[in-house]
Amino acid sequence: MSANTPSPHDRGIGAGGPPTRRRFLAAAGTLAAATLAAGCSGTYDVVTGFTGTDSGAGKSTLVYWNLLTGGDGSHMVEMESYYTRTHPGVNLESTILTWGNPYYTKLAMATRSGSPPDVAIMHLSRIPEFGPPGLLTPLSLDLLAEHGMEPKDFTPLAFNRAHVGGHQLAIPLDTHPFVQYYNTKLCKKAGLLDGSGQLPPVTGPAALLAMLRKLKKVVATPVVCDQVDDPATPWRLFYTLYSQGGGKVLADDGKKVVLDQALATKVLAFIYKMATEGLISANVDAAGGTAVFLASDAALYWEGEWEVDVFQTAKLPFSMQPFPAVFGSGVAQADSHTFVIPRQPSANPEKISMALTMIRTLLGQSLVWAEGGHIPAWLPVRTSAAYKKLKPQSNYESVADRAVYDPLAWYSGSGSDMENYAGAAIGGVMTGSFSPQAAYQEMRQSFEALSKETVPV
Amino acid sequence: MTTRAMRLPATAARSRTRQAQRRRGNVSGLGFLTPFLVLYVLFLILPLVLDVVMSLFNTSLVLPGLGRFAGLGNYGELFGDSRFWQAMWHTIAFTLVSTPPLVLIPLFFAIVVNRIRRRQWFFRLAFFLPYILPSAVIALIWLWLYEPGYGLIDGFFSMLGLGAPGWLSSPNLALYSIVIVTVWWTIGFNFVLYLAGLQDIPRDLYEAASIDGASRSRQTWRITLPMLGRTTTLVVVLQIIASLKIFDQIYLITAGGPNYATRSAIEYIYDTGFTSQRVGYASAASLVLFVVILVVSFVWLALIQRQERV
Amino acid sequence: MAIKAPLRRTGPAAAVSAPAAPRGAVAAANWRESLFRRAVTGVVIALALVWLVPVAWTLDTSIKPETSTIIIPATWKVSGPTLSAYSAVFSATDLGRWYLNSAIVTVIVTVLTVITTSMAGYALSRGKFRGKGFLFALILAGIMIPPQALIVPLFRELQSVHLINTYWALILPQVPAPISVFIFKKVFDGVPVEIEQAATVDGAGWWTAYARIALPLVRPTIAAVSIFTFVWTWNNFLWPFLAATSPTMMTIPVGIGTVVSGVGVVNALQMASAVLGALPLVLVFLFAQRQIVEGVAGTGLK
Repeated sequence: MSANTPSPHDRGIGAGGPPTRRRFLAAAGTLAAATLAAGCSGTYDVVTGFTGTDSGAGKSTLVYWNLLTGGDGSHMVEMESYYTRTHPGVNLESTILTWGNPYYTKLAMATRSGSPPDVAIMHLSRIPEFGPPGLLTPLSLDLLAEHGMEPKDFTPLAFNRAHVGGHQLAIPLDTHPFVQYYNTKLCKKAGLLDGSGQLPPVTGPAALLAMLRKLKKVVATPVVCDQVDDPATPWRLFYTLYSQGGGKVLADDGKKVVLDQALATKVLAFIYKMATEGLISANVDAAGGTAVFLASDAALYWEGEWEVDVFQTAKLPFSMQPFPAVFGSGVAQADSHTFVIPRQPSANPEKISMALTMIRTLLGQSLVWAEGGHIPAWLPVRTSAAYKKLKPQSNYESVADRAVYDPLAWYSGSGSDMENYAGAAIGGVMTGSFSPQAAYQEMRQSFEALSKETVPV
Repeated sequence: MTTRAMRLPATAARSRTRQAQRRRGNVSGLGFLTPFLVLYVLFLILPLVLDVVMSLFNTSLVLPGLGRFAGLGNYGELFGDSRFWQAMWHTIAFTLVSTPPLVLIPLFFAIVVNRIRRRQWFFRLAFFLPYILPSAVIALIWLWLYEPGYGLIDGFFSMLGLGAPGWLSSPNLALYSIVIVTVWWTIGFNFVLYLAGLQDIPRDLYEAASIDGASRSRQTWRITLPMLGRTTTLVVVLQIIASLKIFDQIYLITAGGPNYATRSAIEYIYDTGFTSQRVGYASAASLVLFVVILVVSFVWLALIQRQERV
Repeated sequence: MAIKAPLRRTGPAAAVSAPAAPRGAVAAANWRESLFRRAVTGVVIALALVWLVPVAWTLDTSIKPETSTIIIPATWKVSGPTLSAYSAVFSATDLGRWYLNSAIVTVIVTVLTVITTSMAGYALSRGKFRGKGFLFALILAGIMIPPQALIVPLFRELQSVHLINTYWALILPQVPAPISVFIFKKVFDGVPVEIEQAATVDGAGWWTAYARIALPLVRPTIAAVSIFTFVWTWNNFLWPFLAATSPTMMTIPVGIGTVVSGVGVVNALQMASAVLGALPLVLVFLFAQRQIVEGVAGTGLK
């Protein structure tokens, strides 16, 4: 018995030689048996895991990926269950992955390695990254027509943007623009509402500033717009204002940066002015921004339209409208969720048909989707009376035809590096901690660096 | 030579069998090494070679083949790439900040716990249990702890009447928040190493010292700490090398944010190679990081050699 | 008994052997020291309890109904504990399949690793073939290659033979472990060669010498390497994260860290998946605590 032998007290639970090993093996065996039982009870196909064919899915399984982690996610789940109810022969395996780069990275890797999902959601602005290297199955218009979809059924702007070389790379589901939420009670208090209880749209920077100053008299935060840990929102704010002034950011598929210094600094200076005058509060993250507006601590909220659920459930007195036309035309930054069919290692017409049927079914449920705030791209619903009755969602319906999408480049789009770099710079201006000139320089440098990288697609 | 000539016929026959056996042994020896060797070459050596090759090309993730030849172009771009060097700096900063607590705290714990004769299992459980949890579970636990408003940490701060900072949303604070997670998670490993090292110190040293009148703290300073020198060197070096390879908890908790403020070198390689699909460029970055880790490992080897010689 | 005694007998013994110092002063000094010691021990006990808080909080949240997880300020009280989050995890995610994948990959990797590295260690210890020195140095050098720096070429390599998203891609790259070869070689070096030589004279071949004689003698090493490989492989995130592109092939860490488990308020759901994700290894730890700890300590002493 040397001094180094641990006393019986230190040995821990179940320690002590051969009995331990036996007990351990017994525990391991039970665990293994339970796992195998769980494994065999479903449609798990272990053999496929070794042979690598068809990613473990059977003939009647449809694998569907999306990145809808926000409030709209629950609407998608509702639409999916409608599909599974009406198509009992199909096993829909739906997976949600984290929004942004994590989702697109996985999608690209899976497609290039031969085991992509059968159908997936993709932002329209990300098509330049997936289209050219052939990661998407081109769909002929005849094939779409066979499944009940024709070009005239969709928002032209969205549909045409995904139309490349006579084929459709993506089928749009919606357009989701940057909008203005307003608290009707607070706006009424500031004397801003018109006869019908609506906020009349303002035009021009002076009018917007005047409105914000009037609101400042009734609430500490006239408008809340988040930027903490969220580069997308600052980008959307900037890009909306910049595009209203007619500015372009990139040219030549992203190989050239044409960011207009004068217009960009003008826009940034305007944002800076709002920040330094205390008219805009930006020191919150996305959830925080929603919380502030929900608590009626802000009169206006600049964000995408997908937060409408939260406010309606809480019965907040609010409405929504297109983002004000500050620098000219009333365009707004937007993106579209679309359905794509990633390229499979070997073409499978039945699976494609199954996917197209699912897409058509979900499109038919666009009203459910619209309840979550998005403008349906499916015109039969977008032009329907039922959608028009959906308030406040249908208030900004016309923006779908005035949407400005992120500039065309392999490195741009929703959740992309370009958005992340620009959003960081603009976010600093929104809190007044970064000067417009400095933010412009940073944006320019980031874009230049991205444009010089060798194109991998 | 002369002995063989003097062998009797019977022994000659036996020696022939032994020779044959030896040859068979040599073949078997090599054969025994082969399975490992094949896997080793395929999955450690070949990728390394491929790394070097691809770093000289503009290989893309989504396009087949090696792509266009770039020569040293990738390296040139790399040295001017501020985001790469920021990622390297984050990695080094993380190493510098996390290593002292991960070396000193477990040492302190181990010295104290080693003296507690009863219920050592409780301490082992408390400090070592986190170590066996997967990084994804750690991330879920701490994302919830750090959650603004609803998290336990914010709740604790509000209970004290203090305002809580943005643990994960403040670019200046986020890296420290991750260091805290890492200390909680991995302290058990070093704790166990130190415990083992402590138990290796011969008891008679202490007995002799106490007979000579040395107080307990004197004994700790004069005997325990010097005798733990070798263990401490090991802990420090292992810690540094592990920190240079950091990826999991940063990617899972902050995804390199906010605004890339916590992105580590490995995550930069992942972002460049898989998100931006620039495999050739990422290979160049991988090699640079590999060289850095190699240098540190060599320093380790030299240190160990010197300690062994003493 | 005798082991425990000396450390507590410092006081009186010191007093006896230091005749010059007045007995009272020394006793006071020792009392102060023992108080300090008690305080320090108390601190460590408190910290150990703090160390358990995160896990305890996770369990606490996991049995709360979702709506009560978003109360401000956060509270430990659970009104209406429920296991609904746990069953929801299985229906909302592929957790069952991830368990299966983790089990398959980890067990096969562990078995293959132990077999190939012990064979290699044996060959390097007992073998006398040309190039042995060179091969040993080559393998030793591999210890310094960090696998994280090789993820890009490794992915490309497996992508080109269409093995990505198969079990092979998850298993094979994790098997070669130069450090285990080194450990086995050292252990075999310590086993006297005469025992096998006796068998070889009787006509036994290499395989018998290795499997029937040498291996049983190094059982503790096999246990340590197995346990270590098992834990490390089960918890490995980076490589399986890249190699498993579809959710049906993911291992537990990758599944939990990648797939979003639900929309809306899902805090209890996420904590339940954390608990379920940790469960297999916690069980392994509870039953094999000593082996794990000895395995860890062993790497230090090497």
